Amino acid sequence: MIHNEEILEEILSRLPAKSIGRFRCVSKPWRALLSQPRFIKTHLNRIKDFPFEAQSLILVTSQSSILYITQLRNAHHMLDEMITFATELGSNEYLFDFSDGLSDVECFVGKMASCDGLTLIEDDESSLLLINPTTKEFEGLPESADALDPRGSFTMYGMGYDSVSDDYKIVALSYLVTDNEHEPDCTEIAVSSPYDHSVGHLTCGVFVAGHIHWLASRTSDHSSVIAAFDLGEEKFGEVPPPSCLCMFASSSDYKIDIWLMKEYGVKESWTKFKRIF
Amino acid sequence: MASSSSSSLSRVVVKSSDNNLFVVNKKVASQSQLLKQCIDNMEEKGTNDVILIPLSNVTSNILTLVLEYCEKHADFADDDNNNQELKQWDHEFLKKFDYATLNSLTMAADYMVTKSLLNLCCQFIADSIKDLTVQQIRQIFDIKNDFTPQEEADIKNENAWAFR
Repeated sequence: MIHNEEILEEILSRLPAKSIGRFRCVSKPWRALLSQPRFIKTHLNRIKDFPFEAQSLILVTSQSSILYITQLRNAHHMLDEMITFATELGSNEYLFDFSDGLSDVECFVGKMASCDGLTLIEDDESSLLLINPTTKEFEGLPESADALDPRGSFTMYGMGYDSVSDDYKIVALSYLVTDNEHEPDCTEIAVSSPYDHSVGHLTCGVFVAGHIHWLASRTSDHSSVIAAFDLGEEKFGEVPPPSCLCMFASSSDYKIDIWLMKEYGVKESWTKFKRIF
Repeated sequence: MASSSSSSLSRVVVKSSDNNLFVVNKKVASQSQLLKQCIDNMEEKGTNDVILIPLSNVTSNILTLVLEYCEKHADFADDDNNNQELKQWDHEFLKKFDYATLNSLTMAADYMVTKSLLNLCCQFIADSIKDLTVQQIRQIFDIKNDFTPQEEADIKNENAWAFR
């Protein structure tokens, strides 16, 4: 049945990733079809239409150097404990050391980045690991020759897809530990950033539309800007800051309302933008 | 009825590959982009005659099914696509068929450019095969295992994550 390759591709691109991995073992033509980048891209784009079907969590424990993974829909939050049916995301080749970092959650989020499910994690020893949670594949990343010595610097990561080179790129942003917050001592792996990134907490860059974004400040006048790193051209630019004021209001029942002041200074222009549970 | 200056067809005749004729009203036929294109072309030319559209790739068995789908969807044409009753009907409609019929229906939907039926069939087939074993897939799709035992062991090993 189904001898029309186009239709076969239509059908197979609607399968869950696990079925696709299994069906690569059906025959040589199927292996070729299900392994080609074009098919994988079609599949990825379909999955993006149903983001909640495949969301998973990577869990880190401090007791052992093991990562766990669970489907988000299997996780239940109960009495401050996460009750999950997680599977071990084990690897014999790599050992993790998260013994220090876990106490400081805010610090930890700066140590990971992800795009299309691929997840980058840095452990306490500053070794970088790229994880594909679906195939449970691990790839250790080499240290960058341009990076600052991790003992005397902070590093934040960003990860995104570059359609120009049709590949994923990781940007490491490191700056020296220094008392002077406004000292322009930022270094990016490929280029030097014209911005001061030592503002606020360490945080992973946000990938939108080919750019990775961080909150930063201009080195000239210290004004806050959103610095956007163009993955295709590999250079920094600025996104104009929002022209309206935004406020978060949280209540005791764990709901957060986001309010926007659409017209600055006009009380009546406060509008509820979104409620997050 | 249509005036002589602006032509408007109300029905078309569709001929299956085994030479059976089906009279289809325009709203139903318009669910197929192929039929709709034929109708639009004829209307542009100002023809008032009933037109005959031969479908050389679709048997009358399968054409009956495609037209049943088109008729149902024409009834709901003004609703949004998320109509629960229609979704339920779609599922019950496809549930009755074996893989061979589903295959022919998918091919016909592709040929007649009935995009929603094509998507529906592809998703339905995907859902029904996703948990099958490699062996079952080979059987259903009539595929010969062309791996040597060593090659098969290697490719299974490479994709071991998918067998856990």
